[in-house]
Amino acid sequence: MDITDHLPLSPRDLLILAVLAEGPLHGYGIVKAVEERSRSGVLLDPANLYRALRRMRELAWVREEPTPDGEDTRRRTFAVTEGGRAVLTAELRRLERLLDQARPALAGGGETGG
Amino acid sequence: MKRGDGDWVVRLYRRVLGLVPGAFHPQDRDDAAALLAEMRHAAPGAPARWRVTLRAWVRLPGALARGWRERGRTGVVGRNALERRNGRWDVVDGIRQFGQSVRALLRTPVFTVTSILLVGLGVGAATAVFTVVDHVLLRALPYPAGERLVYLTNGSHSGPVVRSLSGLESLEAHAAVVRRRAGMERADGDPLRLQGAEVSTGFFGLFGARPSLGRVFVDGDGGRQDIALLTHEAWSGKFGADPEVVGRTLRLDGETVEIVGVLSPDFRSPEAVTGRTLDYLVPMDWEDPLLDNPAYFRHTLVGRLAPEVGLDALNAEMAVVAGDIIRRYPDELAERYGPDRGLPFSTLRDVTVDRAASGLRLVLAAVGLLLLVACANVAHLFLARGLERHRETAIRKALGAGRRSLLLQAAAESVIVGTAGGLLGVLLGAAGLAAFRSWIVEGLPRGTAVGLDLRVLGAAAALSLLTALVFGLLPTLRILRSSPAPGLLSGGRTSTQSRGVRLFRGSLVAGEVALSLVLVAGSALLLRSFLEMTTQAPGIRVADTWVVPVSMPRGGGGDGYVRTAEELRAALATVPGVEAVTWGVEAPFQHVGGNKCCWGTRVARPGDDAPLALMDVHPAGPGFLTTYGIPLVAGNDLPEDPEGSPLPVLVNETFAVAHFGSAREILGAELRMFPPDQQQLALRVVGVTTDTRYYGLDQPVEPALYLPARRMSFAFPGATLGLRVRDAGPGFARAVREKIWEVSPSLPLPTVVPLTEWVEASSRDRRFGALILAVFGGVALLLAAGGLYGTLLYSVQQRRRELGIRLALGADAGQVQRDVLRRGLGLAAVGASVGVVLALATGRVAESLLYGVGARDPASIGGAAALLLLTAGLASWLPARRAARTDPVKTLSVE
Repeated sequence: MDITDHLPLSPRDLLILAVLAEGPLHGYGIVKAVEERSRSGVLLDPANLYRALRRMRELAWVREEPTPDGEDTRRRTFAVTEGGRAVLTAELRRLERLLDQARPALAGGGETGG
Repeated sequence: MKRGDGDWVVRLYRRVLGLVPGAFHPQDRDDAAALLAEMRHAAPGAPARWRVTLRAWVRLPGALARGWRERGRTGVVGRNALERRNGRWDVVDGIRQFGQSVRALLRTPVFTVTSILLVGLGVGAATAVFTVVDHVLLRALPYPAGERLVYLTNGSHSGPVVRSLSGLESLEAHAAVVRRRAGMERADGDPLRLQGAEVSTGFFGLFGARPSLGRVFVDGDGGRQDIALLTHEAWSGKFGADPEVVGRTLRLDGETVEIVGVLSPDFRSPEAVTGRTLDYLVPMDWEDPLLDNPAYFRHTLVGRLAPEVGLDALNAEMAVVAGDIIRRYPDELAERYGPDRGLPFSTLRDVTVDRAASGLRLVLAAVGLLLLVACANVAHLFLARGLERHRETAIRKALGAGRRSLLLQAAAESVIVGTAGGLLGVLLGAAGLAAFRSWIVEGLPRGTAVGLDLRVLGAAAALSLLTALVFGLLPTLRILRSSPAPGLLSGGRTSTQSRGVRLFRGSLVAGEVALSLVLVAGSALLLRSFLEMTTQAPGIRVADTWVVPVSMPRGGGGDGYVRTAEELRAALATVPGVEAVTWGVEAPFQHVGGNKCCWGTRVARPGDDAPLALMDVHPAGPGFLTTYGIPLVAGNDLPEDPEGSPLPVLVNETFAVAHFGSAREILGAELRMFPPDQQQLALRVVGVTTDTRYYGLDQPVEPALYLPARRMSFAFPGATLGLRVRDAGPGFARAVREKIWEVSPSLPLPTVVPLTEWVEASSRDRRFGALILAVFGGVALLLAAGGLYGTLLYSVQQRRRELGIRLALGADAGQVQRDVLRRGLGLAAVGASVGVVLALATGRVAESLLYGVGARDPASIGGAAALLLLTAGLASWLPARRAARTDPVKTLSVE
């Protein structure tokens, strides 16, 4: 199974992985981080968030962390895995390539993409 | 979790999340609810809180749907991974797949058009013919207890036999029928020709004929000349569906007749008994003196078996009857109903379809074969296509394309071709059926109401679809099962076809050739048979001859009969354009087929008791031979006014040679015959004619006797005038009719037709059968050729590399070409051999249809084989040339 089969990632999944790549978070933390990152562009709702998290757990992109001592044990914390990072990287690269192809159009023609 | 306002919102949220079973894990539901509570709590104000809540709720259905869809699957995140969805098939994906397959098919138009045409042809032909056959052969007779209806064979019958039926125990009902024709006078212009029948009262019960207006005949009506019944078709077609028609009178055959009833529309006249069209019925005259005449054969007899009684029991009874009748009338009937012939009954159904059945079954078999050949070709085409895309498929598989996607594309192509072909087949089938209806309703019984049989359409379409699917998927399945490496080796060192595949394809082609040979040979046989039959000298001059069958006035006896006929003859001689006129009781080709009319007699040498032969008697008026162009082989024509005894007669060559050794020998011989009204009559043979096909081109020649019609001592109901005409312009028929009316106004106005009409009608069935089989043969030939061409072309392509090497190493291009040709011809030869064996084995089936040529005719079978091999050679030629022109440099460079 190829990583590229999973691309392109939906904006929601991309952002979830991106924020988790910076460190483990619990549900509300993810929501807030994504909101900030996207400058209120992507606003998550609880149901879809947990659905996405479950899916990513099944794909082994995300894992559940043991809650740090002292915190409420009912709040689950999620962290990204190596596989998750790989997917994230692949997607970012894909987006970069797209940009490279499209940018000359913005500049008004001229060079063709490499 | 803090409790606060809006708790119910959160609780409801969690409740709803659990509504769809399996969509949300219970833990996730709790967490989501908790998160919602947290987000609401953290919201900086009421509007913000409500926004959050609203957003969560609005997105809830979507989340549920997605959750449900994703349940139990290893999550698919991206749109690329089409193949990995191992759950439901998205509608969008299906449409996309369909589009891809259509594009792939459009890129190879030859394949697509050919395969669709093949399927359409097979399905259409199969359906049209099956429908007709089903209608004619397999549907039951539309009469009460139709399967118990029986028909007395061995020609028409005379009085003694007719009267014997009422004493039979095996029959619970019976009827006698005589076909009639009449002209109905009209106020304006020509009389209307009507077809009718004289029937006994039993007819109505046997055939379920009920009146919709008025009444049917009852026992008291027997012998009445003044009443008639109309059939529903005649009533609505020719009488304007007049509801007041009962009680109206009309002039039929010069007599005033009252219409007493109209039959209901659900009565279908039994064609074998009453003829193809039936307009009117008149009651049978049981007092007719001709019924006492044992040699006057005009009745058709039908009946219904008593319950629980079988045909064998009836025929056993009839054997006794026959014996009794022969004892009573040995002279007239011994020969006719003697030991070999007897008085056998057949079921009406058998008689009805008899003439057509064997022909139709043959057509059925031919269509089945065609379908097989078409399917073989379709299979072949798909197989070749699949193998050609071998590399492409292997690559896709190596790159991770899923099984499903690959198989689905192949399947989609097959389905598209199958469906399109099926639709084409419906169109072709409907068109073919329309053609059947207009062409052969004439020649086939009960062919009038025929609509496409949907079961057969479905079956044929399913068969084609199945073939396309199976052979479309096979190559893909093979690749999926094997490891990808061999397919990707550059150039494919050996042919990528395994031996197994090559063998299979080869046998497919050989099989096609074999089946095609049977079809082509069959066509050849029938065509030859048809040619034999139609180029059979009819023995008379058909061109420029016209015939006029007239109804003669009753009463007047033999003298009146002769007088009227002579008057007519003299009158018609004055019609412009007429070169010669003659008359007789009937004319050649007037009664075609097994049901001969009208006078048969035993003939013996004087002093001998044993009869020489049973002969057909043709009373011949003056100029009979010259008008009809019947040549004399020996002796002289009949004198115009023969007097005294013995009566001068002519016989045909068959009789002369059979009993006297040669035509010369019989001249002057004396014979005696046994006419209906006298003990016997002395004859002397004064001339011998050539054999004429009096009763049809395909009927065997029987001994015939011509005697001077002017000496007729009894009357027949009808006579026929023969005219030799020069330049019959338009209006000729009317001129003839008017002249007859002038002379005998009381005579019903007759039909006037050129003899060619009757001759052609007699061969119409065979002509159609021959045409059908010629078409099949041609198509089969094309299909076989196409199959061969495809195989060879492909195999040349496959072996391109090998051939290129050989050529580069100095092999002779001609040699290479010959190799390919040899392979093609070899395949065809194998197929042809098998085909010849098959054709010989199945030849017997066609025998009843053949005339003048045996079913194992070497010329036809050999010719078919030669034709196929020639076609194979041509089909191999082009690929062979291609092979020889293979550019070694190109093929050797890495592809």
